[in-house]
Amino acid sequence: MRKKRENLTGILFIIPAMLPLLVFWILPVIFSGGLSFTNWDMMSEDIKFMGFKNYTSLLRDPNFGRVLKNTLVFAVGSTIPTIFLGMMIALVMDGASKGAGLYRTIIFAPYITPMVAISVVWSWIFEPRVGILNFVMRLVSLPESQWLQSSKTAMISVLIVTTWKSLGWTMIFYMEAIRKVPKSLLESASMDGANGFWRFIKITLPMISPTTFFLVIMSTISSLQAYDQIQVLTQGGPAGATRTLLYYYYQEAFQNFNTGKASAVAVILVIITVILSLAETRISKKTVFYN
Amino acid sequence: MRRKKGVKNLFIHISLALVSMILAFPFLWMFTNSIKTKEEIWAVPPRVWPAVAQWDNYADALSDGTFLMYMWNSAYTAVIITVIILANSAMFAYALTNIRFRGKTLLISLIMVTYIMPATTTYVPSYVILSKIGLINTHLGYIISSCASIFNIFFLRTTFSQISPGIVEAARIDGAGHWKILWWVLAPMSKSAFVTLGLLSFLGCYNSYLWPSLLLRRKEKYLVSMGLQAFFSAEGAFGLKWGTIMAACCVIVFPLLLLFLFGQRWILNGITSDSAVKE
Repeated sequence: MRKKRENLTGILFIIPAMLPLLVFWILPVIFSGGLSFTNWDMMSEDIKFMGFKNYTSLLRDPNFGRVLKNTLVFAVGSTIPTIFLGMMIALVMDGASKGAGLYRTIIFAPYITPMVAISVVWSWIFEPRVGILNFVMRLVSLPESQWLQSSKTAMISVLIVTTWKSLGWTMIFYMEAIRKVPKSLLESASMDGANGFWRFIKITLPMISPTTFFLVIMSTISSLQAYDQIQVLTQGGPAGATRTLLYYYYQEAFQNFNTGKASAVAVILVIITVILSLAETRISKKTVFYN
Repeated sequence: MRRKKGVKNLFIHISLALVSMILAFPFLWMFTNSIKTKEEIWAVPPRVWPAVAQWDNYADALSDGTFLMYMWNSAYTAVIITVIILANSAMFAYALTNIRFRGKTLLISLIMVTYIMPATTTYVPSYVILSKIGLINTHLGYIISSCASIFNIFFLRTTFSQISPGIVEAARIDGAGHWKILWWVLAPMSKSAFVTLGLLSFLGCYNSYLWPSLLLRRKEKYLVSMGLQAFFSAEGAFGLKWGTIMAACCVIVFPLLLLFLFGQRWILNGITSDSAVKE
C-alpha cells in the first residue's frame, strides 16, 4: 500500500516538467523522424510517403556538401579558439595575485548579452568602408578586408563574434579547474627543476583534462545550434558562405516550406550530434585523466 | 626575488587589462555611437567621442513606445517561464533523489538522451502542435512550449543529492510529507543554486530569438531581439539610422549588464560548482 502511494507521488512530482518535455520535445523528435520520409509542405492535407528520397536527394545536392563543410568549419573554428584562449586567459588569471575579479567580470560579460543586439553592433564594426576594424587594420598596416561582405572572409567574421561571446564561459570553467590543481604537486615539480612550461604540460594540462573534455562537448553541441549571429550578420551569405546545417534547416522549413526535406536535415543533425558525442567520449577515455 | 615577482605581476596585469579592453570594446563602441550625430558616425577616421552627446537618438528609439513594449514582452514572459521551470525542475529533481518509484532509471536515461537532441529537430512539430491548439502568435504558446529545462533538472538533482540524507530523514520522522520536505527543508538549503538557475534561465529567455521568432509573427507580440532585428533590417541596411539603432541596442544590453553586475557572484560561482559540471 505504502509502495503504491510512493509511486503515485513520484508521478505527481514528475508530471509538471514531464508534460512539456513530452509534448514539445520528445514527441516532436519522433515526429521529425517520421516527417523526413514524406513530402509534406506544412499546409496541404495530402502527405505522401517518399521513402529515403529526401535523404538521397540531399546527399546528391552539391549545395548540401557545402553546408556540411561550413558546419564543420564553424564547429572546429569556434570550439578550438574558445577552448584555447579561455584556457590561456584562465592560466594568466591564476597567476595574478589580486584584482583578477574585475577582469573576470569584463571578460564574461559578452556571454550574458543578447546575440542579436551584439551582432548588430559587430556588423557596424565590420563595415568595410567606415568601420572601426578596417581603420585599425590600416593603422597597424595590415591589409583591409571586406569582412562580412565577401564570401572569403564572412565565415571568419562570424567566428570572431562567436568566439568573442563565448570566451568568458570557457574561462570561468578553466579558472575553477586550475584553482583545484594541488599546489604541492606544482611545488615539488618546480623543486625537481621543471620550469613553468613543463609544469603546465606535465601537471596542469592532465589535471584539467576533464574540464577540457566537458567544454569540447558543450562547445561543439552549441556550435551546431548557432543561428542568431548568422541571421543578423549574413543570413547565410554571401553566396552561401556561412550557411550551416541549422541555418539550412531554418530556410528549408520556414522559408521554402519543404518540411519533409527540412526534417531530413534535422535527423542528419541529430545523427551528427550523437556521433560527435560518442567519438569525443571515446577519445576522452584515452586522454582524460580522472582522479 | 621580490623584484622579479613584481615584474611578473605587472606583466600579468597588463596582458589581462589588454584582453579586457578588447573584449569590452564593442560595448564602448555601441555606447559612443549611440550618442553621435549621423556625420560623426560616418566620419573617417572614426571619432571615438562625439562633440556633443546626442541623447535625441534615445528619444528617437523609444519615442513610439514599441521598444518598451518589446522589452516588457521579453521581461514578463521570461519571469513567468523562469518561475515555472524552477518549480517543475525542483519537483522533478526531488523525485529523482528522494522518492522511490518504478521506472526511475529508464526515465533518467530518456532525459539524458533528450538533453543532447538539438532543439531544432522539435521546431516543425512543435509549431504544428501549437497551431492545432490555436496558440500560434500568443505568448501563452511561447511560454508553455518553453517551460521545461533538462539542464535545471540535472543541476538541482546534484544539489539535492549533496544534502545529507539524515536531514530528510529527520524531517520525515517529524511527520513532514514530500511536498513539505522539498519546499521547507531542501529548497531553503539550496538557495544559491536556485538564484544561479533563476538568473541563468531569465537571461536565456530574455535573449532567446529563433523559437519565438518562428512562433510570434505579429508585431505587438515580438520579443526584444525580434523587435531589434526587424528594426535593424528595415533601417540599418540603408545606413540611415545607425545612431538610433545603437541607442536601441544600448537600451537592451545595459540593463542586462547591470543585472549581471549585481548577480555575478551567483552566476560565476554557481555554474562552475560541482552541480553544473557533473551530470
